[in-house]
Amino acid sequence: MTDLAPPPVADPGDERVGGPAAEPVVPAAAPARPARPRVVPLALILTAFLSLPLVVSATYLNVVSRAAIYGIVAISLNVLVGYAGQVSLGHAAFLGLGAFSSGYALSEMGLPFPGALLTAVLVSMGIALVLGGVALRVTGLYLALVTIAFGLFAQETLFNIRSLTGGGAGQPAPRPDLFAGDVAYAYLCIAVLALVIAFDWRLTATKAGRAIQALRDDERVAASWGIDVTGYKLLAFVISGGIAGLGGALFASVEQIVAKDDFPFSLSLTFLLMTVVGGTGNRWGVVQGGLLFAALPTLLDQLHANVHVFPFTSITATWEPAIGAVLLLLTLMMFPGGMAQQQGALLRWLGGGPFAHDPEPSGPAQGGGMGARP
Amino acid sequence: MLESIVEVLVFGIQRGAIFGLVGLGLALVYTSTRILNFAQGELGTVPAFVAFLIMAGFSTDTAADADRGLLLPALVVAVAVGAVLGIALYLAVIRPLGSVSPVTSLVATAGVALLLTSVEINVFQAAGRPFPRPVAGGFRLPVVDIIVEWHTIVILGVLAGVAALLAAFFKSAPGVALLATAQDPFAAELHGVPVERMRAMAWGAAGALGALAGVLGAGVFETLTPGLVTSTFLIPAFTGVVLGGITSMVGAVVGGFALGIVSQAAIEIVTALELDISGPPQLAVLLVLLAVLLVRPQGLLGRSA
Amino acid sequence: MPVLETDGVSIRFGGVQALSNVSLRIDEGEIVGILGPNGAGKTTLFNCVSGFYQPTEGRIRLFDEDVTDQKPEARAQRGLGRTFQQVGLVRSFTVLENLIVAQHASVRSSSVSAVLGLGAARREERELRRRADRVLDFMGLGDVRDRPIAGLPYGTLKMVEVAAVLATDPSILMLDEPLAGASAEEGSAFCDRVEQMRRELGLTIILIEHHVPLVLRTSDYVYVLNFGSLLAEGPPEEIRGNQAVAEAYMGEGATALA
Repeated sequence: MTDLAPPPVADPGDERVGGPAAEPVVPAAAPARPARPRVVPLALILTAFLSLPLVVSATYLNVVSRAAIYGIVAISLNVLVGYAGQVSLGHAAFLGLGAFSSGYALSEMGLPFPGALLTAVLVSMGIALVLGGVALRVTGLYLALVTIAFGLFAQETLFNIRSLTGGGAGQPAPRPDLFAGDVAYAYLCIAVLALVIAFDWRLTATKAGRAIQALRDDERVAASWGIDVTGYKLLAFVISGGIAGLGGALFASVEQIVAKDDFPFSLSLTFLLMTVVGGTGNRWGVVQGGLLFAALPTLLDQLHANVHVFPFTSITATWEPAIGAVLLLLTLMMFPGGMAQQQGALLRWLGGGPFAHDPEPSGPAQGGGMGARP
Repeated sequence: MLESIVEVLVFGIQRGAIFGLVGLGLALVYTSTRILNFAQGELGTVPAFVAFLIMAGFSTDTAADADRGLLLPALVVAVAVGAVLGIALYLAVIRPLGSVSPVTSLVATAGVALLLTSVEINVFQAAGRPFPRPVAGGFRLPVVDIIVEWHTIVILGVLAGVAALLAAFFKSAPGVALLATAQDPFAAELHGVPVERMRAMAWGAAGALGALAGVLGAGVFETLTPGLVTSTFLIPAFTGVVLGGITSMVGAVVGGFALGIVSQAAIEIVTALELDISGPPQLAVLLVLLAVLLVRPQGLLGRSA
Repeated sequence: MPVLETDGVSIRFGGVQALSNVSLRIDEGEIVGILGPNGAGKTTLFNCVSGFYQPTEGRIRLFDEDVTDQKPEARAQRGLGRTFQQVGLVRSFTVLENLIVAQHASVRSSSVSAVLGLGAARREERELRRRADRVLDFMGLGDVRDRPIAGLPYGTLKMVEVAAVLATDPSILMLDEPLAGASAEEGSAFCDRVEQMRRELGLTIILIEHHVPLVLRTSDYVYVLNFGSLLAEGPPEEIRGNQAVAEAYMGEGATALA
């Protein structure tokens, strides 16, 4: 069990049980007000986001693509960490598996792009199945170590298999003709991100999705309700690997070449950091975390070039890992729910709830009585 | 054949000794505060850079050279810096986090490691800096024509000294108090043990150990690069600790040596059999980790949870 | 007909013998009380029966089937339901959502059709909600239906937990201190509810509680544990007058309970 995802933010816009948005918390006396998402603000935000590829200058188009891909990886990690309560410090490996599979499918097997995407997903899911089958027997800390070791092994050994990955020279991964241009490719990545978010939304409405989420707080309770704990942990791992693999396939075709050095441990760490900073357990939070961390180096460079005030005068893109680390520590120590928690009021309002602070005290610890009996 | 075996042993022991030194720091922190400290590597690299600064006359210029004569005082300062860094890490990050799951503290310390590495890169650039050994050269072993470097002997000596110190410490009153603090902080507090001070002390000691590992580790390659200890020694050290038993300090050292030898053996086997496998050490580490966790999770010398 | 039997169950943790040779037999439709001072091993016994601990000796039989080597999930799927001392619920969900997850074992439609939102899956969703509502109404918890778990008072949560276990459609219900922190009034009402569960739902109920008078009032049969072994067993009247039991609870010289 991990508390990288502490007290969850009530997110009425989040359809967990396949029904309409849960009613906002109101005192018992008042009649329940049906919650309708506030369409106009949502539409504005969506339009702003969707017009990015058309608005940014050509040099930054690939950053937009990469941001969408990071968002996809954030969702994948959220399934494992936020829903199932497990951990992975080796997710760059799944990104890489997807990237190299797609590259191989495109260059060596001559598959069309959709086929390459499918290959990437299947290969990642397969490897996740094998790794998870072995590694999920051990919990928490040891699982983290295994995923780290796996990530390093993937980078040094798996991604160096010349016949499959082109060795040091890298594997070419050409874009499909329809999306060859940077603008078009950015829209493709955004579209896939939207699909992944939709899948995640539906997943939480299924028996499997609910079972996975039940694992996080207390596995014993889930087991006592007849939920096959090991089986669903493995399912979460496989789904997580598959989605990351899909992101990897898109990743490969951003630069249209992919090499082993694209997938170091620091990338895995960044992935986990962005999920935690975004707000584990909340899909909108983690996507934002992904977008932020992908754009951070560019952001820092822009600030450095245009804002001639300390500290921006000294901080360039190379400081990005340090900034990310500081954001992580701040989140863990002071803002456990991450960006999602900070935006709690806003997210609630967009979903149709009240903007004012939730009148019911929320948070895990109730007065006294929940203490453990030895 | 004999030559290969001795070569594997010699190089394995040289690497393994550093793994053991880093592992000791990891085990110390885990035994006293139940935290897997992913920043243990950088608790080594940062003091090593401080040592470099002293030897290079405080110049961060990429062409600066290190004066070997200043190594000893630089080492002393480095150890002090390491201790302070360890204590600072405990006070600024670990303690404010409170009681969180081991995974969360692992991620937090990983964040610190990332932060420290990033600072190193920005201050010193990614290029390697020359870093001297306390004793250069080596001696030739009889029968097999293999050179054993004096540096290896130095590392083994330091390791032995540290191990003896720790063994003595843990038999003494403050040492026992430290163990009690870890096992049952509440009871320890009732007995008047200054729990917080003990924990800070443990982290300080781990920092000092880390600094030793950093300075000696940089000496192995005679080059110091940002993130050196973390990227080269930390994960095998972790695996060694798991292999030896996470609650056992002797286990950390034994495990470290074992990992060193196994990694070297992996390289040797792959070369000898002409297998087309890259990164044999990474493969070996993963396999050892999986094997331990599946067969005997408490490690060779640990007590089962 | 016995629905649950433990046969000489013992378990050691390190140097501590937490249970020694505990044998119980619980028949269909019974309400059985488990009494004993703190640390007697009552929850440990529940953990062995439900599969979270592996006894060092002895067997567990559920509906005449030896389940000693089965995982908790498997035993739950055979109709064994239990509550936990620390409230066993999914904290990130609402009350209703908990009751829907709890019906996990009975969901038939495939996940693929659920993801795509196809007809059969939607119908089943509605049925899951209906069943959850029925259980909530039975337990009198209708008004907290859509409240998140985080934020509800402890006593309410204990009842929600019972509701969740009922939603799993068990045959045997093991309740671990459901009345912790409850008033005498609430305790009495709960005992009526337990009777109702036996009567209307045909459940067999095993109850760990510290509220001795309530247990004696409600149970058909009582087992008393002390220091891991069975101190006494029998119908409530016998236990009430049992001196050894009284001493275990209240110290030497006590002559009777309640």
